[in-house]
Parts: sequence; C-alpha cells; structure tokens
Amino acid sequence: MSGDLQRMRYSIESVRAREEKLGAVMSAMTAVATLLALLSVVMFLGFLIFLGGDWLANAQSATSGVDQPVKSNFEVLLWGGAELAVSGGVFPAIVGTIVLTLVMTVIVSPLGIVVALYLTEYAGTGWHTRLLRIGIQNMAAIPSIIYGVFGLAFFVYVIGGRLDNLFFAGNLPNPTFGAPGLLWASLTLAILTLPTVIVATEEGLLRLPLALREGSRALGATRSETIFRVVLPAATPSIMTGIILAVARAAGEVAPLMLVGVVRYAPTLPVSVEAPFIHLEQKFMHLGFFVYDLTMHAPGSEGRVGIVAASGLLLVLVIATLNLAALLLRLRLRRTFLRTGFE
Amino acid sequence: MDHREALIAASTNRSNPSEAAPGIEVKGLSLTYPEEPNALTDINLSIPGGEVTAVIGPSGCGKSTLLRCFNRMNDMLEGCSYSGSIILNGLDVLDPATDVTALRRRVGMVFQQPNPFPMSIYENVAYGPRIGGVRRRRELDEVVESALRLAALWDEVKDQMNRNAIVLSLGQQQRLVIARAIAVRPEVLLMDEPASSLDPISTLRIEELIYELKQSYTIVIVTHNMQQAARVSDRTAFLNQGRVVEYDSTDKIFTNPAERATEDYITGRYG
Amino acid sequence: MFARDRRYLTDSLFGLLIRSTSLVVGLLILGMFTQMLLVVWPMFAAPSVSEQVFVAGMEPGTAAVPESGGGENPGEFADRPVTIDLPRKAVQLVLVPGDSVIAVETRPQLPATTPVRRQRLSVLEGAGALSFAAIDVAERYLLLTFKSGIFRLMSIRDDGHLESAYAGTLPAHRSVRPVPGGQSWVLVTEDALVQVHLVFLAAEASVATLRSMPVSDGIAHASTVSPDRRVLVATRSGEIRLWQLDMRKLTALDGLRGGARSVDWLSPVLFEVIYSDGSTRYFELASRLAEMSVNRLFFPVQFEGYSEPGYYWQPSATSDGFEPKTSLIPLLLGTLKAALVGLVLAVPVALGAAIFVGYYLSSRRREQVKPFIEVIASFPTVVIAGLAALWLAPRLIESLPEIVGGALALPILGGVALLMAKHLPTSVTRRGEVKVLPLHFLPGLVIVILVGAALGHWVEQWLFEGSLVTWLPEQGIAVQQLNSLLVGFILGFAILPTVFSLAEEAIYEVPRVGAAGSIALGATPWRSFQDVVLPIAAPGIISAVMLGFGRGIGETMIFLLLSGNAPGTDGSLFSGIRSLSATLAIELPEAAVGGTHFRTLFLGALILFALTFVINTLGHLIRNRILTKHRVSR
Repeated sequence: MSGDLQRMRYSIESVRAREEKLGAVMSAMTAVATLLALLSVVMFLGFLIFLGGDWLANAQSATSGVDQPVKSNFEVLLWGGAELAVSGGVFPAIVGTIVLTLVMTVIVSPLGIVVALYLTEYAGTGWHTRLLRIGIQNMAAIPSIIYGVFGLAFFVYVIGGRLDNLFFAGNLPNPTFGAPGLLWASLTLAILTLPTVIVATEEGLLRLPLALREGSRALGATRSETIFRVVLPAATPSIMTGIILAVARAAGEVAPLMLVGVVRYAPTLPVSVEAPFIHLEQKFMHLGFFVYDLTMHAPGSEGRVGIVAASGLLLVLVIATLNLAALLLRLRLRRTFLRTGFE
Repeated sequence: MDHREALIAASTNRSNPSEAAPGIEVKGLSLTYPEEPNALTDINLSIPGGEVTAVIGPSGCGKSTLLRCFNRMNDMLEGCSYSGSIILNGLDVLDPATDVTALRRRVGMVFQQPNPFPMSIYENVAYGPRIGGVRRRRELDEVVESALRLAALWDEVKDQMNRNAIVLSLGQQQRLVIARAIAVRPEVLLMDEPASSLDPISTLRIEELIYELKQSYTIVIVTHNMQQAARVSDRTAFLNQGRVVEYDSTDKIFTNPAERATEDYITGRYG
Repeated sequence: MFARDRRYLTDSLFGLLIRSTSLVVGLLILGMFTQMLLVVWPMFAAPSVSEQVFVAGMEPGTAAVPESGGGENPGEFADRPVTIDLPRKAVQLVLVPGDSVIAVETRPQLPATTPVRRQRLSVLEGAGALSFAAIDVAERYLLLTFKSGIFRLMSIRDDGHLESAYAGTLPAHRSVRPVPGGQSWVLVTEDALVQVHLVFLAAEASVATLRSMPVSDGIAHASTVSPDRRVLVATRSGEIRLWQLDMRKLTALDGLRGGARSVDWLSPVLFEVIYSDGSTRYFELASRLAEMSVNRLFFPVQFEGYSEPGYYWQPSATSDGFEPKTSLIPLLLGTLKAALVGLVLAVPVALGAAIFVGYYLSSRRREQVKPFIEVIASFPTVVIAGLAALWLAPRLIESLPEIVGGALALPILGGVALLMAKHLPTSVTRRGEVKVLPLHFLPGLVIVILVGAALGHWVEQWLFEGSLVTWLPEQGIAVQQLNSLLVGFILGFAILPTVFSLAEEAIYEVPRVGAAGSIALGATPWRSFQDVVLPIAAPGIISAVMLGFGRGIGETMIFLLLSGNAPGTDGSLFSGIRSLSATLAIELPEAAVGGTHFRTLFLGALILFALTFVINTLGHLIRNRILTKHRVSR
C-alpha cells in the first residue's frame, strides 16, 4: 500500500520536474523572442542615429571652394549643396510636408469627429451601422497605395477634371485642378487617416458614461446641445489624440503621394506671403519622398547612406514627437478618468 | 421660515410658494420595447402633488422604466412604444406632440449614479438655465446660489465654484446633481435610487433633503431600500413584473398590505 | 418661443449634417470600390460601332486609298517589284520576281556610298507564286512567303547581301498582312487568319505559327492589321467580324448591314465597308481600347517572338506596335512570395514576444515593454527601406552564410533545448519560468548569434568553396543584390508590430481566471498557458497573422526600394521581384489615362484591394467573435 503511494508520488514528482523544465525552456524562448524584437528596434534606431548623426556631424569637405565658408552637412541637408543631387535641400520638402499635413488635418478632423459622433450618438444598431463600422475597420487596413490610386482616379480625374471644365476652362487644355496637386494629396491622406481619427474619437466618446448624456437630456437639452456642451468638451483629449496619431501616420506615408502630386523638385513653395497664401493646385515636395528619391536615384549607393539616414532621422524625429505627444495626452486623459472613477 | 420660502420661490415657477405642486395621473399606461414586450402593463396611479411617492419592487420589475416615462427618457431607447396616458397638470406627457425638452424642464430627474458634468461646479448648476436661455450673469448667479442652498450644498462649495465638479465626494456630487435639477425650476422631481451608491451619512443627508424639497415639488422616488421608502415617502406603489400590485399610503403598505405579494416582498421573502 | 424653435431647428439641422456626412463617408468607402470597377469595366466590354456619315466627296481616304481597297501593303507581290527600306542599314531592297529566280537589288539609300549590288535567289521547286516579302524589325532577316505556304528566311548581311537561313512550310494562304512591330504577320487563308512570328528556337531563327483564328463561314476579305492589332474580316456570308490578335474569339460587330464584300481600316478606329451592291459605308469603333481577357491576365500566353507560352508583365509600348504583355501573375506571385518570407521571419518573433509580454509580464511591466515594440509601426517604411537598400543590401549578399547562420542559431538552440528539456539538469531550470524581461540574457544572445555567424562562415568555406555568392550562380541560381529575401527580411520587420500587437492583445484579453485555476491545480504557468489560454486566444492569434499578411502585401515603399522591381515567376529567394503595389506606384503616373495599361493597373489595384479586404474582414470577424465571447472587464 505504501509502496503504491511511493510510486505514485515518484511519478508525480517526475512529471512535475519535466513540466517545470518544459516551462522554463518555453518561457525563456518567448523571452528571447521579446529581446529579439526589442533588439531589432534598437538596431534600426542605432543605425539611423549613428549613420545619420555621423554624416550630420561632418562638414562639407573638399567640395566647397577656397573662398567659400565651409558648410556643415546640416546646412547642406537643409539648403542644398553639391553633395545633394536634388537642388534646394530638404527645407522645401519640410515645408511641403507641413503644409500637406496641415491641410489634411483641416479636412480630416471635422469629418472624423462627425462620423464618430454619428456612430456613438445617432446611429442605432441596424445593419447599415454595422456595415459602416466594418467599412471603417477595413479602411484602416487597406494598403495606402490603393488610396493613391483612388485619389488619382476620383479626385484628380473625376472631380479635378470637372472643376477645370467649370471654373478654369480658360486654362484648358492645361489642367489646373485636373492634375495631381496639394489639394488632392491632402484629400487622399485625409481619407487614409480618417479611420484613425474616427476610431480614437469613438473610443473617447464611448468612454463617457451614458449617465452624462442622460443628465443633460433630463435637464431639457436637445441632442445637439448635449453634444456641444457636454460630450465634445469631455472627449477633447481623445479627439486630439486621434488627430495627432493621424498626422503621425500621414507624415510617414509616401506611396499614395507618388500618384497624387509629390515631385522631386518643385520650383516654388506651396505657400506664399501674398494672397492666396496657399497654392492648393501646385505640386509639392515631401520629406518622405525626398528619402525615397535619394535612395532610388543614388549614384554611388554606399555614399548616400549618410544623407539618407540623416533625412530619415529628421522624419522619424518629427513622427516620434507627434506620437509621444499623443501618448502623453492619452496618459493624462487616463489619469483624469481614473481619478474620477469613470473607468 | 420665510428665508426658505424665498428660496423656494426663486427655485420654482410658482409665485406663491404655498401653492401645491401639481399631481400626476397615470391611466392605463403600458410600455413595450423589443427586448421586453411587457415592460409595463396597465399602470394606473394617481400621484398627489407636493408629496413623496415611492415606487418599490424587485429588480427588473419596471420601477425605473416607469419613472422614466414621466419625463419621456425612455424615448432614448430604440423601438420603445407607449399606450395609455400620463397627465401632468393638464398636459398629456405621452402625447407625441408634447414638447419633450419643455416637459423635461418641468420634470427634473436625479439618477442612481451621481453624474455631474466634467466642468466646474458653477457651470454644472448653470447648465440648465443657460440652455433655457438665461444669459445674464447676475441672473445665473442668483439661480445657482438658490439652487445650491436649496440642495444644502452651498456652504460646502461656495468658495470653490470654479473647481471641477468631479472632485467632489459622491454625496456632494449627488446633491450637486439635485441642485442642477432644481435650477431649471421643475414641478416634479424624479429620483432613481438617488442614494444607492452613497455611504450611510450621505444617504441620510439626501433623505433629509428629500423631506425638505417635498414642500415645493412633487417627488417620485424609486428605491430598492424598503426602510428608505418607509422613511421618506407618503405614498408607496409596489410594482412586480411590470404591474402595480398595490398602491396606497406608505403606512398602510408597510403595516397592513392588502396583497400577499406585497407582504412577502416587504418582509424580505424575495426581491 | 422663437428661441425654442431656433434650438430645435439647430438640433435637427445638426442631426441632418451628421447623418448626411456619415452617409457621404460610407458612400466614399463604397465609392472606392465602384470607382475602380468603373475604370476597369470598359476593358471587358465588347467593342461598339457607330456609323459615320460623310458629305459626298468628303469621304475620308478616298484619295489616299488605292483602288484595291487593301490599304498600303508594301510587302505584297502584285505583279510589281517589291521595295523594302532598311533604315538601320541605310539600304533599300528591290525584289523582282521572275520565273524561277528572284532578282534582288540592294540600293544604298544615301547617295552612292556603296555600289548597287545584285543577287539572284532561286525559288524552291513547286513553291508557286510569291505572296509576301518582309523584314523583321531588327533588319536581320528577310522573310519570303509563297502562296502555297512555303517560306524562306534569309539573313541579311550588313551590306544587304542575303544568305539563306531557314526554310519551311506555313499554311497555304491568299495574302499576308504585316502586324505592327515587324516580328509577326497574319496569313489570310480561305477560312482562317493565322498569325505567324519570327522566333528563335535553339538560337536559330525560324518562322512558326503563333495563333490561328478560324472563320467558320470563310473569308471574303481581310483588312490590314490596325495599330491596335485588330483585323477586320468580311466573311463569305457578308458579315463583318473583328479579331483582336491576342483574343481567342472573333467578335461580331453589331449595327453593320449584311452583304459586305470587303472591309478596311482608314484609321485605328475608322473603317470602310464596301458592299456587294457597290455602296461604301463608314463605321467607327467607340474606342481604341484593346479588349482584355481573363486569359491574358492570369494564364500563360505565347507572345510574338517567344518560343513558349509564359507569364509576362510588360504592359506599355516601348515602341510602336509593341505587343503589350499584361499577365498579373508575376506581380501577384512576387507580392505573395515576399509577404510569405516576411511572415515566416516575423511570426515566430512576434508570437514569442506576444506570449511573453501578454502572458508572463505583469500588467505594469507589459505597459512599459509593449510600446517599445509597437514603435516600429510608426517608423516610416520609406526610411526603413532606404537604409536597407543602401546599407544592408550590399552586405546581405556578401555575408549571407553568416547572416543565415546567425539567424538560425537561436531557433536551432531553442529546438535542441526543447528536445532535451527532459534531460536538462535541474540547476538550469531551477529559477522556474522567466517572468521579467531577462536583460541578462542579452550577452548570451549576442554570443549565440555570433557563434551561429561563425558557423555559417565555416560552412561557406567548407561547402561552397569559400563564397556562396560565386557558388550559387555556378549552380544556375541567379543572385541579385535586390532580391525577395531582402524584401522579406525588411517586410518582416515592418509587419512585426502588427502581428505582435494584435496577438498580444488576444492573449492578454483572455481572462486569467481559467489560468489561475489551472495553476492552482498544480500546473506550471506554461502548461496552463498551453491548455487554458492558448485555445481561447488562438483565433485572435490567427487573425493577427492574417492581418500581418494583409499589411505585408499592401506595403509599397519596401517593395519599391528593395525588390529590384523585376517581374518574375521563379521561386528563387535570390532573384528580384516586382509587387503589385510597387507597379502601381511606378507605372500609374506614366500610363496614358484611359488606356489599356491604365485600366489594367486599376484592375491590379482592385485585386490588391479585394485581397486585403477579404483578409481583413475574415481577420476581424474571427477576432470580434473571440472578443465578444470572452471579453471580461478587468
């Protein structure tokens, strides 16, 4: 009897030991996978900073003439120089990127907020609401190049072509809005980032308790009064987060722009000091496309690593700053709600 | 006491504070919505003005739904439909032509969870009057102060009117919400388990407040707490499965109920 | 009262605004699909014809077209010498058919730099009358065909001298129509149109039948081949049919009267029909759009000059008369190949990390580690791809064995450890399962990778004669610097956060109650993960992999910069590829709006769109099901 118990205890012990060893190995493997993922991030950032920073730290050496002041590579990157195949440097590209994302933000913010409001405050649970939700969920994962194709076909050729026929017939056959340009690129990016704004805003709106809306309605406020005076003010941080995330995503997109208006070199900036201040029909330069162009048309490929990394670093920094802002905003928002017990 | 009367006069539409608040006549009220076809069936109640009427009953019996009929909050539910009538001071509440937002200004409501808006204490109370079109600062100040005084919150918050309301304690929040409801000068106050999320001391303060408010408002309170119903109400309706089982004076209901079901519920056999 | 009315008006107006804007956005999503469909659709529509009526005397081409009605067909022998210009060689050949010989005169085009040469070609016995003479576009060969179907192919020396290269038999025919592009010709026989082409079989030039299109009721007359490679046929029964050379059908044209005797092109779209009663009418095709067929998009097609059917993507004309090749297969295969490589590389790392972060780490530590992996998603792919193209690409090929060795070292070590787990000494596993980020593993990790790299180097020395890069081509495997391995590698990095983030969430969302119960019964954390958490999280993990795949096939910049953009269908990891997405980015801005190329690209976009849409919808459906089933508020 005690022998059976002994044997049983022994076999349990051995199973347990085997299980423990298996667990140790498997958990170690998943931990290693995590380390590898982190390592890949560190390596990428390391290369970017090392290669880009190294190039930036160097000054333009032999190429400048004797009587010219030696330009730092930072200046070369910004304003252009002999080492840059593209004249003008990265400055107009930065301006282009900023103007593009600004126009995009102006378009996408109201649209995204309105759709999110519809989904949370107006829509019922009917099939069309579900369809809209599925559509928006899917929009987020549609390849960005498809948005470019759509932008070209619909905005540029259909809408732009109509506009030209209606208002700029005098310029035809030279297209005004019937060709790729800033407006269409902004619109394309706006649609591309629309799901980001919608999802973030919706999340913020859903986080607000129903009681808040009921409280307002019970005081005799109409639905729109409730939205404007209670719901939207309370959801502002989420909306801001959504918009910042959208801008961060848009700033890194290049593929769709290649179809709707980005160029290697634009002779003038899309903004000016005189009216109309912003030239929506112009083609523009873009930081991401600048990186692409430098890489694609690099004559001696290795020599270009530095400058590509430097301009890439610039782009990553811009996007990282935006993402960080969104992250902090969300953290603050979460803390506020935790304190108030809404969550 | 004329201080209180002045307060009440400032917080109601009635020029003569001693004039009784109007009663509510519920006749043959039934309510259905898709998930619950018999939410309320043939409810008949005559709720007297200037008194506290408690609605009790087990969970899911339709107490809150009934309460939400009085200010048509059920309209916000999808696919909800009424039959029968609720007459408030000559106005048919359930008539589709009834101006719902105007109705809600006559019938204030306090919810189970305190739901102050995430804005300042002042703005919370001024919210209703502002929507009602009160723009002048002085007028708003007066309304806010009298509402807060009436809700017995003034002394606690008068120095922090610009603080965000969500930093108040839950009991204070609930009194703030009552003040917010009072500030639109309603005739009826609906309270949906107003003390269920509060600690005993805050509950006591709310109950005292209800007792004071009943001089100027018709109050309908839904509660899960029998002792509370016995303490604060003049009349009690016992609801079960969407029907009124018994409706009588509170004393009668709690001491000598006519129905067996009422007795079972009150003595804690179920619920 | 007025104020109240205004409040209600505002409320209903605002509601209207919200609803209508949402409707517009919803329509926009639908619109994306329909818009592409609208662009693609005309490619598959049958050509339509409308009659053109001209004022008498103003008919087109009455002056220009010879009375034969056959248009300009310079190579045709019709009782006159045939003159052929060879602009590249700057000479002109004049062929004068005789009884049994053909006299050939080679005349210099520029003022007499070389003397006129004369040559006599003997005619094969029983060949019959000459039908046609033509040169190929490179001016290397002269093709002489006889009506009996016999042909001779002569190679042309630089001075214009002809040497016999090849002779053979084609179908007997009445006449020959050259096809634009100068490498193929359409033979008009009694009851079929036969396209023959100059093709190199085993490095030897020959002429062979490419396609043939039977005309069931016999051919009365066939037109020339239009620049859009279309032939019109008047049948014996007096009807007009259209053959687009690469279609496998004859299209009947509606709206034409019966009783046609002959037909010919006056422009790429305008044609005249002469009826047996002697009247002439003019008709116009609605567009120059070549009709597209599923066959041309997805099945192997034999093209002019190609010895075998195959999948080719060369959609735009580099020169006039170029035959467009629009197989989407190379693009699809390239996309899928790289995406799969990326998935194979990313999934083990992503899922391993997802398990560790979502299951082992505490909520607080999870929140600290997670963003550091998810940050990859915010790196612009153009920067990742740019760095990889300039820095990694040259090194990847050079040190492939070392990299493969280093990459394989960890999984091999892990596999060995797993197999040997039973026999591991207790001292190794004494500490139990890892529950915090083991940064102290890092040095060991680096050492293992370095050892793997060294082993890879050693294997290279030992097996591949010291250099894989030179060894592979010797085995017939082409090695390109920009290849699908590189694309997959970088794509793997790009989709890592997608797979990780979604899978991690699926694991984290599983309520811990079950796992805790299992642990309370004495199971190890890993055992309870495997038996309790994993089955619940599995659909979420599968959908994470699917969504990662969807992300991979839609990526553009990585393909654009790293794939070499060379369409191919081989399975080799060392050759370049061309993806659908990169093709859109490169070719769409340059494609003529509304042309076949433009519309074919839209079809590609539509396919990519549909592909990602299906993958995403499936992924989301799987995911939403699991989440609603098991979601517990934490």
